[in-house]
Amino acid sequence: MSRVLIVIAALLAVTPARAETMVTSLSTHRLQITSNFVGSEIVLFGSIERDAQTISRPGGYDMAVVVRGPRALMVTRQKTRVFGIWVNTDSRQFVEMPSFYALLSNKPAADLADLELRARQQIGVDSITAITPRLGPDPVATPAFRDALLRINRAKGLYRENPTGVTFLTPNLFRANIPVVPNTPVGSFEVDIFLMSGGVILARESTNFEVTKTGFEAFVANAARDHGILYGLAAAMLALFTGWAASVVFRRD
Amino acid sequence: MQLYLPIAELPVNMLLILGMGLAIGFISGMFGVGGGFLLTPLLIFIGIPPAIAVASVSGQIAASSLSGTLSYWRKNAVDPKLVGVLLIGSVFGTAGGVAAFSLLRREGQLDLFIALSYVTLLGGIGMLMVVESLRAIARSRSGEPPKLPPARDRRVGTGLPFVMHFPRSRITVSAIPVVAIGLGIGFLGSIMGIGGGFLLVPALVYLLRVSTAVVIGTSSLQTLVTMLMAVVFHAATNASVDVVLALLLMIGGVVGAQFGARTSLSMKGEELRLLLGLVVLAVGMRFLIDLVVRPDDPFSNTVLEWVVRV
Repeated sequence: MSRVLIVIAALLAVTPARAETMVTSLSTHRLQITSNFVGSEIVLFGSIERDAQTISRPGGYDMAVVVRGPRALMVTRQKTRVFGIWVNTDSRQFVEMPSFYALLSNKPAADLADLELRARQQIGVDSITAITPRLGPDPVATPAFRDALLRINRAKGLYRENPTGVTFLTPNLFRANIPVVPNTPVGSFEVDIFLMSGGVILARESTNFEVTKTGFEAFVANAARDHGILYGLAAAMLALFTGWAASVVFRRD
Repeated sequence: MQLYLPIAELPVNMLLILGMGLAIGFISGMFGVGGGFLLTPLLIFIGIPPAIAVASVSGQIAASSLSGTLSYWRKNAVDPKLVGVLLIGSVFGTAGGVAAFSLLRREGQLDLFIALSYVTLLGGIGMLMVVESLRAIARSRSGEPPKLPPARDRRVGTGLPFVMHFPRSRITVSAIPVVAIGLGIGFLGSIMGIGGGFLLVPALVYLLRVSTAVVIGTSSLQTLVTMLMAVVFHAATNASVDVVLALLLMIGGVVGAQFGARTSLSMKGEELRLLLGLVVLAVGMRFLIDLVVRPDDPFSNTVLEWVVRV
């Protein structure tokens, strides 16, 4: 009898029926930066929905939440000593790099899935694809630049992993706190949510949120970008006014 | 008290920036210099991107040099004609400096250029100031009377074309060296984020032999106009002027300058120059050490351009 059950269980596991689905929600889709902004947090809630045929997963569920900020062309430069002083001598450009990356999960990235799957889905800082259009004079040195790029962004808090970032409130209900760092890039952030078990992706959801400046900050940033000369003249007037005001206030003669 | 800077895109401690403006303002009021050569490195040190530090400090220097200029103007100690000729050079120098700034930043050599300029200029000027003021102190100790300036006009480079007469400065000089000085100060000032007063004053005194009565006032007015141009050019080409940062620096700066000016009245001129020389030399040394010592991390990252940005 028990043998029969095992066979049935094995058959069910093989069928590609993606029985689980997810329902997720972000606490906000638009984070506004005001003058007292010192970093913030966006909360992701989700529940795992199972239909009647879904078998139980022996290893339990794993969650991986990947957050990626607006992409940019980045350059990593290397200093070497020339005539006794340290000078940038070599560099590599990396295209379409996320300016912010966070992996939130319930266990370390290495335990979620094998390297190949993580690289394909960009799960984990070490799996971020970094493509160099030009290899430079010494192609063998490129991995060192890639490592440095990831290491420095990690040190700045722009690339991060939190293996306890996803909390299961009940076996089917989870929560993840997405950090928005104080030096956050501004723009659109993509959020990919992976439901996994035993190194396999069972379901996947995508959502996004926007980090924008608001009010006075937005006004200043837009003016500086769109009306550079007017903005510069206004800044010059401000300097003249402040200097004049000071000379009136502190005049002694 | 954290305040978000809209252009630098990071929060800073408002009191820290105000305090830095105050401290540098104190020094600038005490010595009669703009203080940009101290403020720009300090801002870079606390994490403000160099481009934004340089551009925003220009605004602060403009504000503090206006209060200086106004008080010298009331004392009739400004030579507007000389400033006018200097500015012919400064316009091109400043525009060239801002353009070179963008180019060097793109090539990743901006930090190196700034550091090298600081080392050579601050090291050289600081050394000169220390030696000169030590001599002056030794002279006053030995009781010799200070050398009095000659009462008649001085003539400099009159063999060159475009000879002009500047009655206020009491010099007769060809316009060529004057424009060249303006060009150099404008270029270095806009790249290094300095007003250039500590370069301009010795240049006016030792190269053009401008009367000491108008030299500081003239340098103030020249700095004011150059820095106003630098603000506009930086804003137009690099969009790197952060008005919030600049305003904080200005407020701290103008208040600090008043206290500095009061303190300086109780000190002797040569002692002040010695002290300033030592400060200038120390900043130059700091940059030299950064250039020579092995960096913690030989690698660095820069965002070149955004793929799409709303």
